[in-house]
Amino acid sequence: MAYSPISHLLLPMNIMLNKIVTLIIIVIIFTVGTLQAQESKKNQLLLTAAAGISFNSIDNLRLPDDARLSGFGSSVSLIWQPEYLLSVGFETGWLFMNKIERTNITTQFGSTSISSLWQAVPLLCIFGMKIHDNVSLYGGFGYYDIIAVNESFGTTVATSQMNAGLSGALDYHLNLNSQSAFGARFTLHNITELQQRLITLQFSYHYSLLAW
Amino acid sequence: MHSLFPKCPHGKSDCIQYIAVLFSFCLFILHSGCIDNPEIIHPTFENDTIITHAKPLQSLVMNSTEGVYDIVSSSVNWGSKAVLHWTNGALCFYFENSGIYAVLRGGTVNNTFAFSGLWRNPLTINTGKVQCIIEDTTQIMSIIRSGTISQLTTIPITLNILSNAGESRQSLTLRYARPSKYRNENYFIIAHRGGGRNSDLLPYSENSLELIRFSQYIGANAVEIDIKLTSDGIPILYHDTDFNSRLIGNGTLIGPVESFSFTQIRTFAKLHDGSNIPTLREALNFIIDSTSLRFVWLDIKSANAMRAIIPLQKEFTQKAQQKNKLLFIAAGLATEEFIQDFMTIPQFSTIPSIVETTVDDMRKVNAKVFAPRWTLGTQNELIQSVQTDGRFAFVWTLDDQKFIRKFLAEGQFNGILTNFPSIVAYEYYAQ
Amino acid sequence: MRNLFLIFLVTMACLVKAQSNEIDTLTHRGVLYARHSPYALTWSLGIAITSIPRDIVEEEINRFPFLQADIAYGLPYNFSLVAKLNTMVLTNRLLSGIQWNYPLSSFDIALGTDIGYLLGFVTINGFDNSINSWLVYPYIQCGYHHNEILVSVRAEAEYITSQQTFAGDIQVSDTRNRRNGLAFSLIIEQPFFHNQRCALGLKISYSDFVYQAWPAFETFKRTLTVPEVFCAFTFP
Repeated sequence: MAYSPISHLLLPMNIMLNKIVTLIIIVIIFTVGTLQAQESKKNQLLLTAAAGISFNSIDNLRLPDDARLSGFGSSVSLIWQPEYLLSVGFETGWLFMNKIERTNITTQFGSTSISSLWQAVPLLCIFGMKIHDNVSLYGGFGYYDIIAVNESFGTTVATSQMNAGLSGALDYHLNLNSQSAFGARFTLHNITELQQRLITLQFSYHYSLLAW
Repeated sequence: MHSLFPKCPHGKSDCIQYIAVLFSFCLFILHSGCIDNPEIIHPTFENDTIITHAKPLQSLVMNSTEGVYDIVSSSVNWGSKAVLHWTNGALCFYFENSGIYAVLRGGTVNNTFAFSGLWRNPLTINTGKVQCIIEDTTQIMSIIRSGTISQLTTIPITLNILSNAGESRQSLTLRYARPSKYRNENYFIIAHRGGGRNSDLLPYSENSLELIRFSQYIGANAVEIDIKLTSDGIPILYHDTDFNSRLIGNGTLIGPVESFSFTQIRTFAKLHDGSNIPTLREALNFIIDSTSLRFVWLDIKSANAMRAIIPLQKEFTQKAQQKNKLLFIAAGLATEEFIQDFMTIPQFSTIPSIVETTVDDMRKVNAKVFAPRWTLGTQNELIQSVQTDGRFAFVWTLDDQKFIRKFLAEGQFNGILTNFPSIVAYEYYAQ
Repeated sequence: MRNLFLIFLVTMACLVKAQSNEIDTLTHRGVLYARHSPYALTWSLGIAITSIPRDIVEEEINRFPFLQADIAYGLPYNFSLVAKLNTMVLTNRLLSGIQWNYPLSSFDIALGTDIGYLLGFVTINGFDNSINSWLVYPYIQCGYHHNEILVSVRAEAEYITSQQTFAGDIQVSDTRNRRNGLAFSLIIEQPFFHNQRCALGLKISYSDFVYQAWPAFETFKRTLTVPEVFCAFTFP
């Protein structure tokens, strides 16, 4: 079915936002619940925002040569960092996958302009581990909601599909003060179900929401 | 000063251990993200001089040599018997073990019979090239011309089983034993999804035109194809609800099939073998013009596709009749909902259909075929009552050789739907 | 497959090389770890997610999480009794077995064997399919413990001693005494809060029959690489 250009864009966005907000609330409630049970003061709740570029390293897709494979990639994570080895949290974001844009091309159905955009919203459970004073490693698993918008032949179609996947990230950070740190991050997203791979290079900012 | 990321909690030496552990962990993650599940290398024949230069054999030779052959010597374990069958000029062998098949093309080259093609074990990834060259053709021709076919038992036929690169590896020698047992003309070996599933690692994608063509060579004389509807109402051959990595080999479309128009699908989506997703019109045209298939089972995957396929069903049944081609096209009604929907169509009882639910439903819609699932058993009395009404009965989806053998020996069905037509072909023709 | 084996060997070598001189005296409360305190009962509850190739299971049973419960009881002379349950209603696998460990400074090497029973039944769209199977899993596990953090790498083999699948009353298959495959796991257990621990693991199986995908009734003979991630909470 075809949607109007405005409504089709709003629909998946709203659904996605609802999903993300619900999951963030669940993580916060869960974390606060464990927080109250803690007597130790060696824990902190860390909010990390990262922004940079996302590169679609394609394994099996036969995309045309003029397809754009890199774009903006952002992520937000909320991590509970206890005194022990592993920290646990949730990560989401908005990652560019690929875009094809062509004007006035000739197809067997006549001349048309084509625009196809794929973006991924990760919904991951992540585990982090500090391996050096300034270096942390993260591994995550969960789902990637692939949101695609295709405009061609005068019709715009927006679709989304959930695909299972894994991620691994290396984060280098420098402390700014007792509450914040700044760094850079390399992340590999393997959307295994779709057999797609995304590499992101981002600047990251870490902020301690709570420490106890 | 207190910092956001404190020093490593357990000192530097521990960090080295953590790195070792995490290094492995990351390797695990990376590895699990790029899993190589079995791949198959299909042989190619672009420069095969036998296929390009051979002249086709006379139909008398083809008809006379069809039959059951004994394997008299072999360096491969393909069983003790094979069935030789000609399909659209291709020399096809179906072997006793696991439905292993060989499909060869060729004919006469400089007074010899020469054939070249591929062999495959359909249950594994084992495949390669095969060649058959008979240098002394005078004896064969004199036996065939004299009509004393039983004397073919004196002539050995040797298949050279080659690697993909064309090197000789193994050989297998057959001798004619007896004619094939054709139980009746109306027995249907129906290839599921146009010939098999993508998971069976066939050389072509499921529900593609080339796979429909290939299905004849691996033993099918009928196909089942899956029908979905595009957003602009065009029936296409596609199985799943979504465009996904299982079926689509390029990454521009993703999500529900019914969201996209035919022009978008044709422009942006390719199957794994690089071919287009065919429309039902293209598929039926192809079946009539380019195959000898005799039955098409339209497995309707979305309820709204029903009304779109019926005009095509009528149009192509007529087209086949005009071409004096025996072809039966029937709409599959898999659920009660589909049957209810079907009964709202004017003159539904004149539309050829296949009912999968009950015999009562079959009579209600005057379906031409009753198709119960195989797990209900042979149901001989019920099937006989269906056939007494002049209808057919098919069983689905039978893939296991021992059950195929059992249903052929003990059952009364008119056809078997299968992912492995070569197993059914061997068991049926060798009876 | 060879890569996985190399990863396993590298991990084992790294762990042994990084051996600490400290002799740990902490009580081991990890369920999945190689050593358990005598007469102590520990158990854990979590979920396991397996990613089965979409080609095999198509749209039907992919990415379904399993509930995973583990229980361990320490015995004298370095022996332990262990049990594991994986369930998602349609598929249930119960394992139980005995393991013996050899402590080595901060390390523990364990040898053991689990005996498993698999029971599955699915009734969908008039299908009435079921499976029952007896399985054997011999394994070797290397554990490293430090500051209450328990890290384990484990290699296990899987044998099917008997397996029957049914469609209604018809027996579809009967498999006896078949080597099914290998699996490698990496598991980290650490304190969570109070006496609780959390466990995180990744397991890569390389096997012919994937029990999570039994309703697919695969006829095609192939060996599949299947990753499984699991996360569990451990209780003393």
